[in-house]
Amino acid sequence: MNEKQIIEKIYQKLDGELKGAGLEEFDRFLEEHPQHYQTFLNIQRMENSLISGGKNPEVIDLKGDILKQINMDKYNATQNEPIVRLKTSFWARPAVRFSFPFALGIITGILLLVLLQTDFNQNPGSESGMAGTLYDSRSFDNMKTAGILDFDSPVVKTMCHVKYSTKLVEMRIELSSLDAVTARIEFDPGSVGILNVINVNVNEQTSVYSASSYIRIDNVGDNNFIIQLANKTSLTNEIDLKIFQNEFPVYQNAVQINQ
Amino acid sequence: MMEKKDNELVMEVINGRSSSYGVLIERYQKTIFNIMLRLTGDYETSRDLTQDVFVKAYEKLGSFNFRYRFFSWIYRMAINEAINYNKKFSGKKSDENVDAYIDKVAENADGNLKMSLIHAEISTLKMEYRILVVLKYFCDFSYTEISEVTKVPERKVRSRLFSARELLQQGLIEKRFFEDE
Repeated sequence: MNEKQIIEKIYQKLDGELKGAGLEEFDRFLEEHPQHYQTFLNIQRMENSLISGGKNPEVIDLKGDILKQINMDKYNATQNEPIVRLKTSFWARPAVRFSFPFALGIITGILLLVLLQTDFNQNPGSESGMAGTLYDSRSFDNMKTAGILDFDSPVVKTMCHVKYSTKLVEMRIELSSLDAVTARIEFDPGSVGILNVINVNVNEQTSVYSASSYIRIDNVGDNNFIIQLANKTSLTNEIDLKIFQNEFPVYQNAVQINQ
Repeated sequence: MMEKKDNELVMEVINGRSSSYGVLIERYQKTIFNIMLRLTGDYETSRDLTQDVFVKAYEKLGSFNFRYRFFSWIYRMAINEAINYNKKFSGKKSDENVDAYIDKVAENADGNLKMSLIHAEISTLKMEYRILVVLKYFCDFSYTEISEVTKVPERKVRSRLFSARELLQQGLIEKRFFEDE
């Protein structure tokens, strides 16, 4: 044990924290080391003096003086103060006042959302439900029929219904083939421009490509498309529908718009 | 009749029964005065400071947190008051006070110069050590209670008190405290 540890042990002993075997061992240590025993005696003497000094505290009575300086009514006044409670009407309460515009805002938001969803999220698959486009608000039913191209063969079946208005040409095409066929819709880019090709019901093997003057559909299986074209002029124009299998023409026909 | 607990008395005062504060004064004035006396070394100053502590405590009683014990709250207030006083009047005045205090204690202790030596040595300690020595020996606080009053962890209280006692012992050796018995 070094000096510091010995002094620590001495204080533990004096504080009564050293007990049992530990205390006996330390007492033996002090007996065997007279110089440390002297340190113990010194500290013990100092501790005893400190403790005895603390046991004779100065006696004093300041109660009267203190109470004279205290405002004895401080807490009495608090208790006796009349409680003023402002009674506000239910509708004037801030929570109520602000909750109304808040609720109104939420309801308006929900209504707007519902209305907008109705406008934009209409199922494009339902042909009868098509109520025109943003480009031309007239529905398909209200447009003028250019022609219906109907073809049925072992290789491919097709039904192409073409209608037009002064601004829009809409083609609804049903294509059905066991093997791969290519359908090309060709038009004069000066008179007609592509607006939109909607895959109504299209499987994964089928794909659609568009260029300025034609739309190509590589078809396998049963598929439905809606093609919307801008009707740029009021002059009579032809739109061709050509179907090929392995580069060999299978079907070709045309409809006239702006008749 | 069973003695009322401190916090019950505090509650009574807050509820308008000011006379209950007298009971608290009776209960704590002696300890607080002795803390002041050991920390400032001046009898009259300690009287004044003790009164100030009780007046301030009364004013602040409305904000007393009932989760704590009243004694630790008011002792802490007393210690802070003494620290502030010593900061204000540190230097020559404090030394004069210590000398006067030694004379007074020696007088009161029937010429017990040993005791006055100890008090003089305590007054040379750093304030943080002096507070711990005073609370331990003059207020007879346990380490836990000292920790509660000073808001210093118990382990630190022990180690600081150890250092304080070592310094005291060294000082007393220099003053030949241990020689003539």
